[in-house]
Amino acid sequence: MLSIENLEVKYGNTVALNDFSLTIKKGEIYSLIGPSGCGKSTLLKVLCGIIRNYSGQIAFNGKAFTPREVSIGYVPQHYGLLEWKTVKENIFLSYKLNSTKVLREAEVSEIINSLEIDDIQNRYPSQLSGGQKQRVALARAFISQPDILLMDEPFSSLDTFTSEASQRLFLRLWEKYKVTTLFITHNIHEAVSIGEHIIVMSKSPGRIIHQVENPLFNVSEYQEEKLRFVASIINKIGY
Amino acid sequence: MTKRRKHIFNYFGYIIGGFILFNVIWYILAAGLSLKALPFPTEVYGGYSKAFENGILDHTFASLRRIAYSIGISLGIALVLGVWMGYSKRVNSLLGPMIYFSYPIPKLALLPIIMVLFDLGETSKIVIVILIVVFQLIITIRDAVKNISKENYYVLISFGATGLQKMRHITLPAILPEVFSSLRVALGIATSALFFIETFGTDKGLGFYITDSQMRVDYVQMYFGIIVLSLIGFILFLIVDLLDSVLCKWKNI
Repeated sequence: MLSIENLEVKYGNTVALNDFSLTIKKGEIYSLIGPSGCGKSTLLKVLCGIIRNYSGQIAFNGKAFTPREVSIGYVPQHYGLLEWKTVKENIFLSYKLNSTKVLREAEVSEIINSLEIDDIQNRYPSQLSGGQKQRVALARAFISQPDILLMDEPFSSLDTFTSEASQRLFLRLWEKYKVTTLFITHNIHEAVSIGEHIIVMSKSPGRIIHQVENPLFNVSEYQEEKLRFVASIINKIGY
Repeated sequence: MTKRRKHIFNYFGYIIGGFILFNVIWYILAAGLSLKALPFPTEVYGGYSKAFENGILDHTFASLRRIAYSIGISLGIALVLGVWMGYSKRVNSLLGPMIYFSYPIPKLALLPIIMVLFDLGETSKIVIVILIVVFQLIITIRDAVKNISKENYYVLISFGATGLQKMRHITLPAILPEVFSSLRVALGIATSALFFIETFGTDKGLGFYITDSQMRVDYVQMYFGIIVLSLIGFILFLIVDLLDSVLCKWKNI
């Protein structure tokens, strides 16, 4: 369990996050939506260990949270694949850096197969389409067996069809591993399709203004209901 | 023929073609000008036995050694300073202006003081070539480090990577293409600077060989020396190209 209490982050004199508190339960997916510039990415950067200058408490399983000790899978907005490494080398990056958590080979190839990137392993990122890059980034995150998976608008630069397909692949994989996930997006449809819990943030400086369980999480026949639910969230946001 | 073999075949085809064209132009110029100072290429290549008698191999190795030392040391200095300046804003604002200020100083004008500080022999020659090439190497490497996308580092940080791992998996491979292209420039400059530097305080080196032949009005040997010097440059460029295509495969697809 990850708990964030009274988190505050400033860039110089600008407050990016203010009085932000959130509890994330083990094995569940949280969708965080909010307008651009509300501090969503800042929150992820704090959790990844990129931003260390913050006030407030973050605890993981009761102990103070340090990104070095908690293993984190991070899928950045532009996937963060290293251009000079092949797909295969990118996927196994976490093993190169710290080889304590190694998956069994069968599971590794299952992840690779289920993300449909088996036959592109020897290519370089510049030879891949956006959707393929995104799936490689997902594979890299899952193979590192993270305690927490952090996703920063990973589907937002894909076209609608690829995005839908990627979301389905992601959910299928998530079903199997039940990784605790914080998923950030500015797309309400995406938030509803992915998140078990939906958290709505205010405009800058970001604060939580609404938090709701998603009744449609993992329900397949929901198109119409989903739309109604999306509309209800839009009403709540009011911006 | 496989694609790769065809590629290599083409590559050498162009090299040979270029060499032939170069000689044809030279031949036409020599025939047209008919000057003693510009002998025919055939005469120059025919001078090889005399060149060997004159010890052209020793001269060539002396020059190669100077190039190797000066480029090697320059690259070492530039990697350390360039990466450091790229990483740290403070180091950059401290060293940046100093480098901008010393870069335009005509280094050859410093020859007397360098000869006094070091010695008349090898060290002063290597030092002067280093002074000539190191600045552009430092600046290129610093800018390459600065241009690496932050997102690359983010992923490694989230995996808990150490500073050394970030260097090995991101910084060094990311700047490698730029290192190679600035190395090409440095090699060209070093080879041509050598000609001038080897006219002082030495009786070894291709620069010496060329000027010495010129003094003796032996134009055939002078051009022979020039051809060998160009050949050295050419081979060094080929080596850099080869390293580039092997180590930066990702950039060349």
